[in-house]
Amino acid sequence: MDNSLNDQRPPVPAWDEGTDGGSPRFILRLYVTGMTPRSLRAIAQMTSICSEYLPDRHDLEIIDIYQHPSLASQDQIIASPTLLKTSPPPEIRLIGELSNRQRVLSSLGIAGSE
Amino acid sequence: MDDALLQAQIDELRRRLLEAENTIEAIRGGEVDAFVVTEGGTQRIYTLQGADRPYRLLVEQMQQGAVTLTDRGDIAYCNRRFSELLDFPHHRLIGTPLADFVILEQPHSFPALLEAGRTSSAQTEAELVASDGTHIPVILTFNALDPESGVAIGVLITDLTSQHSHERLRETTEQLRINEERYRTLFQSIDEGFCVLEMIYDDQGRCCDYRFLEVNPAFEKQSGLSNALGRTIREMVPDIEETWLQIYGEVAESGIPKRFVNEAEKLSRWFNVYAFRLGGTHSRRVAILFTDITQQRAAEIQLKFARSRLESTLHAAEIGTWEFDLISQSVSADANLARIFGFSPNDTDERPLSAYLAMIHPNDRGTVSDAISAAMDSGDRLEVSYRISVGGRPDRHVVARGRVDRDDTGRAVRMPGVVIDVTAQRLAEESLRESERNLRCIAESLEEADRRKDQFLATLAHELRNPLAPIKSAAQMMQAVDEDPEQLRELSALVNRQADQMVRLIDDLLDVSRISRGKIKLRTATVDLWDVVAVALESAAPFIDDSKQQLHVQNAKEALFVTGDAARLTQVIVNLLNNAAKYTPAAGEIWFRVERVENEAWITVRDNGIGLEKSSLNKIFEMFEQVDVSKERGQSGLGIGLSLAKTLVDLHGGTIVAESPGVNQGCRFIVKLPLLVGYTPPEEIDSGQPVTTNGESPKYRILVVDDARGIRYVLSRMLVKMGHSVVEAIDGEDGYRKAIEYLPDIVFSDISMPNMNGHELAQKIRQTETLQNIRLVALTGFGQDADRQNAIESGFDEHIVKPVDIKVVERLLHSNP
Repeated sequence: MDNSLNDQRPPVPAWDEGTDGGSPRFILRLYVTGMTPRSLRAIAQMTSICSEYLPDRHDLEIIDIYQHPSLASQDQIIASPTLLKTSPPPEIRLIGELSNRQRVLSSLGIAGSE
Repeated sequence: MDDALLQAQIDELRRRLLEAENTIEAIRGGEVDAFVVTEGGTQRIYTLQGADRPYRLLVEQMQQGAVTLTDRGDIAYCNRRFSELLDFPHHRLIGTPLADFVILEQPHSFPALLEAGRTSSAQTEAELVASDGTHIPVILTFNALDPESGVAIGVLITDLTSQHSHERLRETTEQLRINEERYRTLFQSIDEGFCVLEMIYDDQGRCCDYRFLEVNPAFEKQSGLSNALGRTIREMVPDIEETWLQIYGEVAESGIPKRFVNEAEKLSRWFNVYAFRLGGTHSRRVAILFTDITQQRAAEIQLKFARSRLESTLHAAEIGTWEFDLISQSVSADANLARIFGFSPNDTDERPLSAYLAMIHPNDRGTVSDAISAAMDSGDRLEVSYRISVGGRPDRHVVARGRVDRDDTGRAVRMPGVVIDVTAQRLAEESLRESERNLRCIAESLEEADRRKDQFLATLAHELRNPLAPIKSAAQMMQAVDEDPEQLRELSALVNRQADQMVRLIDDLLDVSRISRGKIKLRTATVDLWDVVAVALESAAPFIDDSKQQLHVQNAKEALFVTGDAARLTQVIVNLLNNAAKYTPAAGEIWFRVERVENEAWITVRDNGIGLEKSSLNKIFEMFEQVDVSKERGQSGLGIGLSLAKTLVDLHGGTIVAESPGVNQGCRFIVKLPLLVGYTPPEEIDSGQPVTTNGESPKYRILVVDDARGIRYVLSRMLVKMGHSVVEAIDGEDGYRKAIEYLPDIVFSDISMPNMNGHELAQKIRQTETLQNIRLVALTGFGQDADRQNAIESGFDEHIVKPVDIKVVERLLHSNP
């Protein structure tokens, strides 16, 4: 199960090879717990942020910890929902339902967030 | 550098701290709802209360049954659907072993399923037992859950009932759709008209109209109604016959289908209709399947007419038709055949062949059976004529003709054919044959009469010529006679006698003519038979003398009187005497007798002449009949004397019979006349005497042979006067005898003579040594080339025709070397 998911992950382009020059590609994983209300809210927040601030330069994976408990363990997830930014560095973890949009933006270091 | 590294480590720690702070903050703030905890190498996820609510709802409301089992297999939880499926309240199920509700098919066992479910998963079809005992087909899916939480196994129950019924419904619907399409196609494509009617009723509930709810494409062609869909019959045909409404109304009401043939006069059509109700009792719909049979009906009527015409024709022609089934040996027939065979015309049932054979004439049955067998065995056609004999009816003549039909193996199976009544033709043919026979008889008798008449005419010529010859000769001689009174007297007496003979002949002829015209009349008076006999004997005497016959007369002692015509009675007796003289050889004897036998006078003329055959006795009195006209007999006569005699005797109320013991044994004629009583008998008279004549010869010695005395006499005198020496002979025999005795130089001979005719005489003379040099001269009265030729062939040197001309004789004698 885990392997097949890994396989399905699109290849991540090298940071410096980004298509639009100085704009880095965001690789994001959002761990949720099925369809709990917080999970659903976190998913909604992230899909909204991605489409608004990171159009065409993000890979957002939404992972159900029920379905992929081992993946959660690899990424040292302890609670859900958790957003994990692996690229661009540094690695950032945001725990909770990401209700504070500004905080999410600033935590992720997304340009124009000021 | 160390500072920088340290600084980086510090930053990292800060970030981590911040992360931890954030995490704690988030947890505290209730922003997380699950934790991932690693226990002994495996991850467990703990959710906060309420986080699994949607799952609960999902499970509760799904259309599959869901059950969780404890490790032992007891129900820990079940959803509402499962409880509904089994129709048990929820609380009755919890804690109960699931096995209580499951029936498994062999070889599955529940413990095995549980075991599989504990470790991984298992699936099987099974049946659940509901609270009311019904069995519900299901699929059970076992899955391992979380044994440590006490919920070891999850079971999903999928109800196949609905799936089954749904499939069935779908299948049924599909089948219906196919059927519907099939029938629709059928109704669309069939040539018959089809329609669905909705009956329309008036206020009283009477059917008053109907609407076309559905029609097929053939409807218009079959009905003649276009665009009928949705319209009513009254709209299209306002005055449609009530019968149509009645019939359809009845079908709608009763639900009993009807098949019928009916005319729609307004549509000018005849229909063959099948009507049936669609739907239940209160359905007002009637479906109609129909065909326009107008033309078919017309053809049928025409056919019926033609058949009836054919039947009438066959009847008129008296032809019956039949078909013989050779397998069952039975015959089926039409009315005509039944009629011909004497069965009732209405009874045309099949009958065994024997029933027909029984009607056939017993003599024809075999022929018919044989003909049938022969046709069956080898022939292909039967033709046989036979008679039908039905009691109390005249036989019918019929001709049967048939043809044999064979199957593939050549076995005769049936034979159709006709019987033609040919009775009328057969009767016509018979009557034709009958009349043909009659006509042939008439023709034969006419031919015979014609032949006799020819004979008669030839004889007549001869007979008339016979007296003429001596008369002519006498006349010639009278010119040369030197006033010799004796000779003159002799000659005139001769002429007189010959003339009398002619007169008698001519009188006879006239009488015959009168008789045949029914004009002869008797001048009756009381007649003394003596007188009659005297005159008759006188008249016949010369003739008898000529023939050198002896006549013996025996008269009755008493006088015999009759009522009659004396002249006619004389004629009768003379004819009988002449007849006797004619058929009796020279020097023969004739007996004449008159006597009384009771109240009759019998006049009998008997001779010892040539006699008669028994068969000739009847014919002898017929007109022109001569017993024998052969050359040997050569007897002259018209053949009318006896016929005349009979007629005259009949006119006198008497009878005449001819009797003869046989040929050459003589003959007897008896005339029987009714007597008158009270007269005195007359006296007897004498008979004449036979006469013989002789001659002399100066130059030639001549023999004259002729049975006719006159001719003989005249020729002899002629020759004597010429200075020849002459001897006479009365027939061939006499001639031959005298020729041997006298040895003449020349012989004149008649051809037609009794005893021995001229031809025989000539042959005999030629065969006689001593008579070799005699000159033979034939005398014949017929003067025909054939006679001349016959004479030369017989041995005659010359031939002269009677009456003999003196000049011809002189020339002939002078020419003699």
